[in-house]
Amino acid sequence: MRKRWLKIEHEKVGAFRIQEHEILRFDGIPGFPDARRFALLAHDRGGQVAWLACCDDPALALPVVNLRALRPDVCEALTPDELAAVSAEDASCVDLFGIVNLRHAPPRLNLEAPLLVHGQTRRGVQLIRERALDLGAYQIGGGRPDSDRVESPDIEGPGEQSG
Amino acid sequence: MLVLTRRPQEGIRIGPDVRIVVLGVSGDYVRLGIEAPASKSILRDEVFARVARANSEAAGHAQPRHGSLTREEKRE
Repeated sequence: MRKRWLKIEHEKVGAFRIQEHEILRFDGIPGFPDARRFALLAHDRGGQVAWLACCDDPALALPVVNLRALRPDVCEALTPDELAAVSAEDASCVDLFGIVNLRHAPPRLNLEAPLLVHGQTRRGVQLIRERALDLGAYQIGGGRPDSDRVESPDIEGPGEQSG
Repeated sequence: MLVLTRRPQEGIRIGPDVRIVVLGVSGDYVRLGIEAPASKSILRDEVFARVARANSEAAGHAQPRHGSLTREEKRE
């Protein structure tokens, strides 16, 4: 079957192409109720901060980090109710992303409201937890040093921050 | 906004699977009971607003330059 590609002209991350089955589908997220379709764009220089670019709003892109990269068993902390939000039977079939606020110094990873995505259906939801996920100490690498790189800073977790 | 008046122990239904019941009123406070599927996200307004604000702030940061993330473009 011929794969269908969509070309998105995005104001924030530039033009990109994505196959329809790769699109992540949300029923909106808080603050952006009309944002339904997202493309996850990895940083091509190896940084851990990826970009969740909205296909419906070319002005919207969120910096995110795959939390499994920081703590491989992080999804085990999800409750059955949380997994049910994307119709997942267990934690092995989901991915969890944290939104990074790069405006903070140091950048802040939102572990209270991670994005949960079903690996097969690509359905996603932003969880809002009473207790933030505990990653312990972590550090997010910014990719190879490169004067032409996009912003993808090193981020340290609470276990390594001062104060 | 739809406005309804309910007494304690009276409720309303939203769709086939959500029921909200007024459990009691005390001074400025109203206690609500909510019956809904576990997969439904039920939040206080202020919590939702906090997450919405955090999302907006994260989205507002200067984004990567044009062309830096065109992973799919390279497949052309």
